[in-house]
Amino acid sequence: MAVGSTAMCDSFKVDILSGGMNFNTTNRALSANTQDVFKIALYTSSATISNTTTAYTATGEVAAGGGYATGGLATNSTWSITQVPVSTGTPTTTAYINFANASWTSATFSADGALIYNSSNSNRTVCVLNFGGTKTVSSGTFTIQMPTAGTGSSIIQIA
Amino acid sequence: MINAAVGDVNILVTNNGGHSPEEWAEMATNQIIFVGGNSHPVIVDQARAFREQIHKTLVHYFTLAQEAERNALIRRT
Repeated sequence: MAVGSTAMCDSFKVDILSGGMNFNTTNRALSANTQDVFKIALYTSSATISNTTTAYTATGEVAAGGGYATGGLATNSTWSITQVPVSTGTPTTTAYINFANASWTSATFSADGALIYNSSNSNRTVCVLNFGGTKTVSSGTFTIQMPTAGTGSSIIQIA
Repeated sequence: MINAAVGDVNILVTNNGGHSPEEWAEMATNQIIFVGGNSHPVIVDQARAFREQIHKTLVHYFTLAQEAERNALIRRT
């Protein structure tokens, strides 16, 4: 059991082609102009998550307590989408989105990876993040620093 | 063919306290400027120098903000 390599989930690719993921606040053709709620959950080395994971699972998730709440942070409360879908970089052929940094304060736990998922759509997964080892925080702050928004760097890019 | 990719994240943890001004400055700098690896070397060097200058400036002002907040807290007690 382990956290798989950082990757976009296979099911996410199907979901974006099926209209199952909305990172934007407007222009949604299928439904109301409502941005989906995305969450980021933390996992220990006992988790089995990878690009083949299709939905959020509590198995192997960091235990509740010590500054962590089961399910993780949500974009409609303690986390946010900082860049809705655009293709304004160089080259303009790449579309991207970005999230804010995710932080847990007054935290005491260890985590090996994270899962970003869509809680507005049956907890379907977006991507797996592998931290490259166990990261431990003790009475401190645990921060996942997201990359710069832009072509070649953003957390989710389609070129 | 269409390629989809996931960007790299960086994990920052602290013990017995929050992030330092240097860590906040590093996070802010990374949000402000991204130095790509495919640019001309001269441009990359200039961008890195600019990035370093931004980082130093942010550390300086974050430290001042931290001191100002501490002074404000002391005055309140």
